[in-house]
Amino acid sequence: MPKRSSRSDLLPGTLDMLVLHTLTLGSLHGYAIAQHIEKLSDDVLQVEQGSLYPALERLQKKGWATSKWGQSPTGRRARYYTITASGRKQLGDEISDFDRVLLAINRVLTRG
Amino acid sequence: MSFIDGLRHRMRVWTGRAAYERALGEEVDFHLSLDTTQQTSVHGNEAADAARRRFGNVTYIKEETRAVAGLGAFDGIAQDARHLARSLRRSPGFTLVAMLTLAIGIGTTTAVLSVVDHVLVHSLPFRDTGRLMTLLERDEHGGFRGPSYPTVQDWRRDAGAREAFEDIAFLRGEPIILTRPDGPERILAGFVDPGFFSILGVAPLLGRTLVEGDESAGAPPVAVLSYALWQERFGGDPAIVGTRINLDSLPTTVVGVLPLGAGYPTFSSVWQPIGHDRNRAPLEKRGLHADSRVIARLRPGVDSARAATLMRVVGTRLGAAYPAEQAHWSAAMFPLRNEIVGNVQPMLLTLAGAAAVVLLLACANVANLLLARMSTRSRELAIRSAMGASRARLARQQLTESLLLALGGGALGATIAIVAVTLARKLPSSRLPRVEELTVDARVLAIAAGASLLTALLCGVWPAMRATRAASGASLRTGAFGSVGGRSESRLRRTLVTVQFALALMLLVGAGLLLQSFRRVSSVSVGFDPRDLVTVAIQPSSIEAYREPAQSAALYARLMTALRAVPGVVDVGLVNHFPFGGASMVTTAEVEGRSALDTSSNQILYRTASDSYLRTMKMSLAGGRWFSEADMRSPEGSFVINETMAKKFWPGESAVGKRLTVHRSSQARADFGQPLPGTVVGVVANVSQFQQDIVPTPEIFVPYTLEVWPWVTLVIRTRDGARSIPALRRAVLAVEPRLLLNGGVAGRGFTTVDDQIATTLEQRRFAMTLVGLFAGCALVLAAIGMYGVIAYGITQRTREMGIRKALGATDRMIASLVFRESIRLTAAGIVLGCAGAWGGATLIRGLLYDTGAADPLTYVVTIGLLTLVALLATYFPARRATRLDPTIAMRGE
Repeated sequence: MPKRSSRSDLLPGTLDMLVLHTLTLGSLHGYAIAQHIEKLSDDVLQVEQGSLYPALERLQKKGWATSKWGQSPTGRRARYYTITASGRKQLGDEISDFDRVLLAINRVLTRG
Repeated sequence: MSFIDGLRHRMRVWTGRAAYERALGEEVDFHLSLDTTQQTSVHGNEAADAARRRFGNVTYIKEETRAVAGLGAFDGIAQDARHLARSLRRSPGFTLVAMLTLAIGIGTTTAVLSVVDHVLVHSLPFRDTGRLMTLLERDEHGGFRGPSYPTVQDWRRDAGAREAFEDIAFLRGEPIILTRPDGPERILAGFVDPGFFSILGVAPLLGRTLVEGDESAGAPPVAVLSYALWQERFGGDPAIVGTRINLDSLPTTVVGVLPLGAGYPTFSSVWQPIGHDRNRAPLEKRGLHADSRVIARLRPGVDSARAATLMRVVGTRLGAAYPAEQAHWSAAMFPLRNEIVGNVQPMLLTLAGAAAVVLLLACANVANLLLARMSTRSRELAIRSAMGASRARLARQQLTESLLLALGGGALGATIAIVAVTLARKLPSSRLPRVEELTVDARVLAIAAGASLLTALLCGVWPAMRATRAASGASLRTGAFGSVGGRSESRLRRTLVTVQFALALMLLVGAGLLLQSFRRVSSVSVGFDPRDLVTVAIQPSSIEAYREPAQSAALYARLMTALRAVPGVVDVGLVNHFPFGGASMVTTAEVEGRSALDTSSNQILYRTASDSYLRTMKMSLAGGRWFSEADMRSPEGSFVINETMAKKFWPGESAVGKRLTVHRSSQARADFGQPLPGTVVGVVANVSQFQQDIVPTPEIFVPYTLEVWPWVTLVIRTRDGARSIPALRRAVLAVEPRLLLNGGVAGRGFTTVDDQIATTLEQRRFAMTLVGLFAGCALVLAAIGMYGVIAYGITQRTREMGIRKALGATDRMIASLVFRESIRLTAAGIVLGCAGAWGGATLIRGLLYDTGAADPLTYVVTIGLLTLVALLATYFPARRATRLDPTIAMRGE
């Protein structure tokens, strides 16, 4: 049986990091997070929006984010996600990791 | 904190799976609808499609999210369950047989082992039962007698005996009358030494047990009740302690109640201090056989061998002090446990063995069924594996299936066990000691269920793992060719069938041997004609007007006359203890001109009988004559002895005319133990004394008028058997309305002798029936196993059979091909089983009567039956094989 790979063509863990980063803006629902990530990456990082949800689940399982149902501006019920203290700490760690990886990639690309 | 947050999240997900699913759905819907409204370039359905494109595969995303949440396994299990239910429904035969097999195995094993464990392994309700002993006296020739009360008191004072035992206590059982507002009834009382209960180590359920102070002359009469009497006659009244009950017309204060099953002897209803025994005089006689029981508790650190050595010294000391009564006698001891559970032990162990064999067989059968099922599915498994199902997933599916079968079978088996034990609890306690405490033993149930479960799991998962092994391509191909399945697997299945047949043979032989023994025992001549013979025990001595022997004798004569006048009555006789009645009394005899030593060990069954007894019973004479009417009136002693006694006392010569002296044996009389000299006037052919499988011992008959027994059994030869009982009862009560005819310790109420004889065979019948039942189960299981293997083999060889037929094989050739396989397996099973059966039969030799472990008839019949069943189990698959259409068969599927 083939191993199912993540459909986001991102570096592993990148999406989680992007979501956490987005949540530092405040409590957001899934769609808003997706919008923000697209904007953040200038539409360069094309992600299937759906793959956001497994990532959100993963963050909650790790205790880096929590969720609560609330009223959206349109009046519909929506689930709002909030970053936790440990999420923020994690974000600090991960961003530095991420920077290191990006740096490495850029170096390879510019040389090529 | 992240750990806590995460944990809280997980808890929420796991506890509210349905809510989680709904929330996920709602969240995705929300996302999609929001994205649809945000599409500016397109509208309507196109917008929704665009949103969905941007979102990705909704189902997949949801599944992925669920998997992250740890709910993936649930999906799998739900799927497995659906799949399982489908596949079990598709083969109800398999499901039913597998579950029933497991149920039978678990159920019977648990029920039988619960009984065995209860009786043999469970400690008796006494403290440290292993140190409890019963004491008897044994002489140099191996003869036994109950120790007399003075002897026991000597032991209690003797330093040597005190070194061996913490304490020793004497008990004398006597029937007494309990009178309650709704009438009198006979119950058994135990008159005991004060140390009796502390030796047993029984704490009372209510009140207290007996103490030293109860013995003293001025103390008011007191009694301790058995749990059974308290429940059945006093409704379990919690305030019974301190109240008075009427025992033998004496107001007696109840001081305590014993816990359930904690009395000794087990059939006693009340216990009273021996100081209050009405019949003290016979108690004081030293050295004579007494109707006594003596219990003692070994001191810590003293084993029974050491105690026996100490008691031998005590015996020598007492022998010197009382040469007439005690010379050559010393104490012999036996574990008390043996007395209580002793005689059912071989039967229970046999049943346990048989049940274990059934469990083994059931496991073998389930193994066989599962292996067969898995191998027919090996191709399906291979396909599913090729299509991407993981091995773990496939194994889990098989595991779920096996587990469900095992659980279903286990639940059904537990039900069978509970029902069986509930039924067993209804047995009278005379047949199963302490039956009222019987429950299903949870440990036994766990072990039996565990064994079946393990079998099911091993046999379910192992083939699945094998089928999905790397070379699944090979499996696909073999499946396509329809050739014989995995070779090692089919060898395993054949071995299992062979083992099943061997086990079934063992059980069948066991059942056959027990049946044979039963037939032989029940055809042993009892020495008289039991048909239409009715008996009733009466005890007039409990009525004041009949205390004196002469008064009782006159009543006996009047009763016999009255009964003779009842229409349908042929003749009436009387005897103190009827054969098959259980109760008996022994005496010792001295032959003139021989030293006492020669006969001191000769325990002789002592019966006092009327002149009409022989002809009423239709016993036969071996020499001399029976008592005449004149003998009944003569003060001269005339005796009739049985053949065993004649041969033992006067080997090679006629016993008739010989003089001898016996001793009066009724302990309820003041003249207990007095010598009774007389002449042998006749010898009777042996009559069974207790049950047919016990060889008659020496027995002497004395005219009932010479020693008037305080209770007797009236023996009535009728024309209509049981139907005449109401008329007989009226006739007895017309003579003396105060007589109790409801039976009791002195004997039974009105019963037919046929019934009494049947009762003595009950235990044998019980063992025979159960082992027969097990053997039947075993036969069915083995037949199923054989059928399974043969039918499966044919399915696997369908193509081969088709080719054979196409090439001209006749039906007969095809059939012989199938039968040859079956016969080979059966033969192997029979050879193996015969060896096992012979070994097993040697183990149950104690239960066999006049039947050898290698009884040829049993083996021949069993082997014949087994072969027949094997052939029958083969016949149906073989017929299918011959009816194969070669063109279809060769096409494979």
